[in-house]
Amino acid sequence: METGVLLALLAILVPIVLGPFTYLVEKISAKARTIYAVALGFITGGLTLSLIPYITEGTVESFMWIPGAGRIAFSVCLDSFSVVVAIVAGVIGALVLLFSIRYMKPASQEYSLSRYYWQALLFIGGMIGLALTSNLLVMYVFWEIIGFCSYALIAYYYHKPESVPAGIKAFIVTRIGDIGLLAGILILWHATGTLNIFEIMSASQAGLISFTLLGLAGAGFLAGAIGKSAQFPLHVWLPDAMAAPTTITALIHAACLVNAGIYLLVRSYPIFAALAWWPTALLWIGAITALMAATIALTQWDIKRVLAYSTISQLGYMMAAIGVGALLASQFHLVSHAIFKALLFLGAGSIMCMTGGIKDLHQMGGLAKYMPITRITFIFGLLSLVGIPIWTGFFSKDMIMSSLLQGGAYIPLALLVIATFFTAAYSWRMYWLAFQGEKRTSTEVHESPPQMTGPLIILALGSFLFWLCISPYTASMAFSLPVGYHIMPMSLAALIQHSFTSPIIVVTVAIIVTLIVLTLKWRATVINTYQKPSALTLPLFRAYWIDIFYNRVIVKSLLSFCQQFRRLQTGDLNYNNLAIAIGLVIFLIMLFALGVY
Amino acid sequence: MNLWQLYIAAIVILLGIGIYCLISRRNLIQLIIGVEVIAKAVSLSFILAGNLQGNEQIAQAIVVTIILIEAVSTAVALSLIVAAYRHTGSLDINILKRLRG
Repeated sequence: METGVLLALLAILVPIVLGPFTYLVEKISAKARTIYAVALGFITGGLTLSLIPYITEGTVESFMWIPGAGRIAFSVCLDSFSVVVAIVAGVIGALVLLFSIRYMKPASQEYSLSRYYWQALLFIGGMIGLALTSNLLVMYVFWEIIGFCSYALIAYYYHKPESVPAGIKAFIVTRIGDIGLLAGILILWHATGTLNIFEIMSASQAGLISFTLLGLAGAGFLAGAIGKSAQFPLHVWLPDAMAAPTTITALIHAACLVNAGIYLLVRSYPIFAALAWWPTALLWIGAITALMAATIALTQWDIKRVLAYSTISQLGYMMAAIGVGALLASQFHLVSHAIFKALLFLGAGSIMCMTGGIKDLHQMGGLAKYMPITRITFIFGLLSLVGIPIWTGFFSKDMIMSSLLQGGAYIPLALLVIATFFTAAYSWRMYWLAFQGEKRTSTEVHESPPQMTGPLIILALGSFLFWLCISPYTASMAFSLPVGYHIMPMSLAALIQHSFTSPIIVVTVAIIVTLIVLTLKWRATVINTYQKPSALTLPLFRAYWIDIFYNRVIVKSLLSFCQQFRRLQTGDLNYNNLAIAIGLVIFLIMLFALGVY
Repeated sequence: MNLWQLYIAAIVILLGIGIYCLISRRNLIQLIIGVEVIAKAVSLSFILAGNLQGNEQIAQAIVVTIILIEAVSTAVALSLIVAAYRHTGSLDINILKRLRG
């Protein structure tokens, strides 16, 4: 076996197989368990990083793990897309686990931390597995593993009333998309006779798949990605997922879960590029979601909800970029978003941990004096999110918007530009409410310990400096990906020249001016705003009533429909078994009647 | 009569006995036995299908897996029955129908 394949398998198996042993290590001591789990996280992160020299094109090796079912081979692929997504999951996952040591300490009184650590490790391992395989069915298995982990971890604080419903909601809403994805995979299997994504790709490019089947499969993949990456209309689970521990929210938003949908679409883009409507749908869904979520974020008071809507909005940017075929821009923004969003969530976690769990922006304020490191790193994250030169977010966002401009998608571009202004506004508001003005909480606040500020500083440096890696990053993409992805290598000088000379720079300048004006003129009004939402902001505050609409219309009617069948449930097992037996007989009669024999 | 038809007959008989047991019995232990008998019918049908297709290794691998899973599920079911017996003091299935599931 090649070294690269071995390392890839280790990166998948170390967190998944060794994770459950946290329960055994706990028998020694709680401290040993924590060290064990964090060490596993760092080993995984190191293993994903060690894959970089082995980046190569196509499927590297296939393992026939079910004899006779060669199509369901566990095939490892180590091209630049998969390795980069695996590194994001592994490295950010390790930092989050390091941050958890202190953050999760108060929870250990009531909840099992061994459960927390093994599920987090399973989550990371599942995401790495999803990234590193080129077999669609195996990918789907990992897709479900991370779906389960998100459910279990969102419901982690199961004594809190909002946690378990939020977990179930996340699971059911993403499941709607998952069914589409499974159907899409099976349709592609039926049409091409293979499950390897590269073989399907060449079959599709050779025109061997009929347009009807391709369209159905494309719709299924789109549904799966919309569910997992929380795009309109299936975005409703993500804000509720804030019931999870903040560290897990950082994992979901940055390292693991939401990237999966974008990654799937980027991967399968060459398969469906022949369909005219498919990229257009992505473009519009992305642009609408980006604007909608950014406006909602402007009015929320829970700091984690602001960040959640910000994630939805940023994922919309990535989706729109895929829609014009700018896969490099989408992946670049995925990485830069992962870094700064992990930073922002961990920063919010640092605030919550030190103030005793306050997440309401009403009660924060004035934290700048007490938490200098958290404040500086948080500013770094926000500058990257808003897209101020020379933070990474500026380059990635600029790349997305200029590719939309080149692609001639003017109306979606306009939506994204407006969304960018809203992004600047809500970031600015969040910062001023949390860190500036008067201190409004009575608890004593001080700076977080080093195991919390350490990850923050690393991520802040990452969000500041990652764009310097653009040249090796794009070069590895260009040589390791098939031609269908249309990725050209880009040097650092070309990136700088491209970013500062494209027309989008006007938007950036306008945003900087806006921020300065906001700071000079409107600071006092915003900080002292406690008033109720007005008629203008109420729809934003209530997230356009989409949640309430789903609840009243879909959930309620489904429940009342199911209530009709309640009387069939007698609870008598013998009757149930009899019904099963009758069903079996009817099925057999149907088989004979249809002449299967 | 071919040999495989005898096998089919055995499968059908085992399945019938198992289903009859599930329908007519109320004792939890007897229900487990019924489930086991049905599982045996399934294993036998895998062996037969593997033999008819000339693909015996896969059939044997699957049957070994089935036996393993059966053992695990039976262990779980028996432990549940012990817990239910401690809770209700009876092995009758109808006492457990309070949830009407």
